[in-house]
Amino acid sequence: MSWLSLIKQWPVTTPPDEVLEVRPGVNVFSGLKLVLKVRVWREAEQRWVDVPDEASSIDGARL
Amino acid sequence: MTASCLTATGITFLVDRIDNTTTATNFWIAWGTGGSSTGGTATSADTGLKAAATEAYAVATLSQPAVDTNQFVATITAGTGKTIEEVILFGGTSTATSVGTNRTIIRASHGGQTLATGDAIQYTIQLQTTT
Repeated sequence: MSWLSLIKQWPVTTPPDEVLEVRPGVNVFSGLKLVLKVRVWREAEQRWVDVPDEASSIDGARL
Repeated sequence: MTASCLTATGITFLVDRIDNTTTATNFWIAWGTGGSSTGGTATSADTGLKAAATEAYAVATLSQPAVDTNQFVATITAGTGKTIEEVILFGGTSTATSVGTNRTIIRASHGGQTLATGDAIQYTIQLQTTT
């Protein structure tokens, strides 16, 4: 099979349905965000200490 | 490593809650010491704490601070000195204060907080739906 024939086949053999199946799922969940806020009460000092917020996408990636 | 994840059971919980497959209104927050241990980083496959601490789980107060945000708040006080590294939010129809038949919705492994007896952590967990 020649290079030319391979190049001509490439767009045809790419399965467009697989791409379309993946993208809706990614788009649906990309709009959810988790924020974890932690405040620590120090009994000996009688005061609250704020810890920086941690924001993540729902799969754990830091934002 | 620090990470916060909406778990697989949490996703099914949200879906079930929207179509009333579940009418759960009970939510708890629990903490643990296993965030930095092997396999301790939060993932979507988590179904509970890696290493639960001895303190009782705390009822989470649910509110909606913005139209696109659910917020859960609870405070847990250390009975003895320990380093807390992880937290879960779980909920369901069971009134038992353990994961049991309830479902872990969110798990986070966070920076270790070294606590003395009487120290406490107030957790605020927000799940925001953005466009």
